[in-house]
Order: sequence, then C-alpha cells, then structure tokens
Amino acid sequence: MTTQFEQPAPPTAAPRPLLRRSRSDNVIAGVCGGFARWLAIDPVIVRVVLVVLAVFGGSGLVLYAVGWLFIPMEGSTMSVAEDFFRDPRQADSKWRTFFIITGAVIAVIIAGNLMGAAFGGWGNGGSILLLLAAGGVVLYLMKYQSTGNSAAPTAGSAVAEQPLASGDALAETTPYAYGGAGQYPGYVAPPATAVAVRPPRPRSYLGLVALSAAIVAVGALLAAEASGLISVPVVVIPAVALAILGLGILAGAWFGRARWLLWFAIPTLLVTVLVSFIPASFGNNVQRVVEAGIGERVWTPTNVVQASVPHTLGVGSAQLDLTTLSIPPNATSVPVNASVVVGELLVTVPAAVRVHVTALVNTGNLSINGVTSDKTRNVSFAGDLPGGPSTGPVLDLTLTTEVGNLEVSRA
Amino acid sequence: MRKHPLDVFSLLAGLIVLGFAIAYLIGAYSSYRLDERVVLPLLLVGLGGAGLIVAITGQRRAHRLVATSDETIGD
Repeated sequence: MTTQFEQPAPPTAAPRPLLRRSRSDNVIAGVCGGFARWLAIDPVIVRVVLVVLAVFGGSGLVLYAVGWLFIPMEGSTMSVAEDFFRDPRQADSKWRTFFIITGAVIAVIIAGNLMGAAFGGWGNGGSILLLLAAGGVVLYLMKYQSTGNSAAPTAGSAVAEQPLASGDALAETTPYAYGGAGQYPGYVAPPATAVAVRPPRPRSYLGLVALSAAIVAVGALLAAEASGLISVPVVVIPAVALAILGLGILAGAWFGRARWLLWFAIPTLLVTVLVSFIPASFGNNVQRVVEAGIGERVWTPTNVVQASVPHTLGVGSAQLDLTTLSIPPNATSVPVNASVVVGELLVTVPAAVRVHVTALVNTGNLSINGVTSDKTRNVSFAGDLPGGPSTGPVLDLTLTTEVGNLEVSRA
Repeated sequence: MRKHPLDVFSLLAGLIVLGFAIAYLIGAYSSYRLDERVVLPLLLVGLGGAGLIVAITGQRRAHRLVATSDETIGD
C-alpha cells in the first residue's frame, strides 16, 4: 500500500501587518515607526516627510496627532481616541489630559498673537512657529501618556491581538495539502516576534520638588518685598522661579523625571519677558498714574506761567501744543515739563523758535522732527531741535514717556 | 532617586531654561539687557534641536536593537 504525497503548497507570503503604532521603533508615540512598518519602508523616510510637512504649513504635526489619536498601539485593538471615550476608568485623568492639552494649545496661540502684536513682524508666522514648537513638546511629552493609555485592552473590548509566541503555533494552525497538522520536513519555525512591553517607570518626585520650590520662592520674594525686607527689581521674581524650574529639568537628565516642568517653565519665561518691560520706577509710576489720571489731554499753554506748570498724564494720549505760547522777548529760557507714564505724548513747537529738547523714553519709540530712533528701550535725546534759529530765547523742553511713544515736531 | 542613563532632552531643555533665567537675573542688576526678540527664536531652536537629537539617537538605538536581535536569531 503506498501513500501518495502531494507536494505541500508553499507557505504563502506573510500577510501585510495591520497598521499599528510601533512599540519598539518609537521616538515619540510610534506613529512613524508603525506607519513605516505597514508600508514596509525605512522609518527615516516617514520621519523626514513628516518633519518637512510640519515645517512647511504645519500639516505634519496635525497628521502625527491624528495618527497618535486614531492608530492603536501595537498589541492593542483600541486607539487612544477609542479608549478615551469608551473606558470609564481613569476618566478624570483623561479629561485632565484633554483639558491640559487644549488649554496649552489655546495659551500658545494667544501667546503667539501677543508676541505678534508686541513685536510687529511675527504675526501669524509667529503663532504657527509657537504652535509647532509647543506641539512638538506636547507630542514628545505625550510619549509617556501613550505608553500608559494603550498598554492593555479594557474589559469588554475586543480580544487583543496575540503575538506569535513560537513557530509551533503557526504549524498547528496551518493546514497542509497532505492533511493533518504538524511540521513538515524541513520546516523552519519563523523567528519569535516578541512584543516589547515597556515596564512601568518608578515614580519620580523631582519635578514636584522643583515646582514646589519655585512656588515657595516666588511667595517668599513677594512677601519680603511687600514687607519691605528686601527691594528687588520686579523681573527677579519670575526669573528666580524660572531658574528653579530649569534646575529641576536639568537634574532630571540624571535623576528621576522632570520633563513635564517645561509646561510651567515656558509660561514662566513668557511672564519673565513681559515683566522685564516694567521699568525700575514701577512703584513711583503707579503713584504717578493714580495722581495724573487716565484719558486724553490737550495742553495749549499761551503764556509762560501756564507753560511752567508740569503737564502730566498717567495713562492715555497727550498733546502739548506750544505754537500759541507767547514768549517774552527778554526771556532767555522758558522751561516746559511734560510726561506720560503709559501712552503717547505729542509735542508741537513753533517753527521760528529755538528749542532745546531733553527727552527720555523707557520703552517705546522716540521721534524727533520726523526721525524715529531705532532703539525702543531707554531711548534718549538731548540737544537743539533742528530747523530753528540758533539764537534767541530757548524753549527748554523736558519730556518723558515710561512706556509708549514720544514725538516732537515743528509746526 | 536612582541615577539613570543621561536624558539628553532634559539636559538641553534644562540648560536653555536655566540660561534664560540667568540672563534675566544678570540684566536685573547690570546694564545688560536680553533682547526680547531673541527669546522666542532661541527657545524654538533650542527645544527643537533637543528633540532632533533625541529623535536621531533614538533611531540609532532602535537600529542597534534590531541588528542585535537579528544576530541572535541568526546564531
């Protein structure tokens, strides 16, 4: 009795892997590694394309975020988005994460627009750059979130994909032409594909220590300043907090984990930049604002007595029109003093009068006879105003603007 | 806290943040003023560069792991 064997069908080619985010080849969330494996191409190609798309237009960032949200992690069947809306457990932490991310994106957009308004040329480009940078930081920090979110399927969900433990499982389930199951001669078991599962990281208190220390330092400085124990420039307070946060992040390079302090360090840096614009005479300025008032002023002194009265405005726009000022022929110098704490001061002087100007702008633009200074911090001018006579009575102007614009021109 | 392998991103990000803080503290007590127009570009370039470095080193590490596992399977 002979047994006829039919040539077993050659093993079919390995089926195309499902689109999953990679656990082994991941820099942030494994989107590029998983996508590359699905396409059977080098992950570097995917990463380069994504970076180019992110830099030019920002679509790469959006695509990556979509991939992170909707592509399940390797070993799971539920994506972050599915898990977020279906899993009743850890609902608080997920909502907290959602609101943190949403709040951070909104804050970055607002900050970008503020920067654009403050510095003119940034505009939408600055907002996009800020959004890209913040998005990059967010996605990098979310590396740890994605590992915990999709580590295991939830109860009631579909059965998770089971990795191939050994070639025996493949042999047992693969039918062969000659019937039965089992390994045919010469069969070589495929290599085991172990799914690397990252072990849970030990808890680190470094970030919490640094953040707490920064908060305590700010509180202590404010209390000491208020009680008169110390007197420090206003910018020192947020700068000290920023230094403590920076030290915490730096220490995290060797001990513990503190990358998340960047969420606090970047807004603190923004506050430090804004506070740095406040001049050292802030306390005096507050008093001056209260005394001098807010609004618009138009001063048109007609005689020397009126001109000698200090013209001061707290916040607003002020015009000092000296074209109607009557200067006695025997006068050698007519002093005029005008200042605006925050706002705009426009001074118009007669065309045929010698004018000496001493002007100071702490933060803003200074324009003398149509010529605007390039500097915007601590801008000063001292000298005769061009275009007038070099002899005769002098209109001696002392002009100050703390924050804003100051313009002096001839009629 | 136990010491762990160097985290390059934390190192670079910490240096950047600390650098800004020191610059503003120095500026508060001297005539030095950090131009606010360079803060944002420095922050973007610094953090972006740190992310790039981590991405590149992570890619190399992943390749080394794959190469090591391939050698093990082939033995």
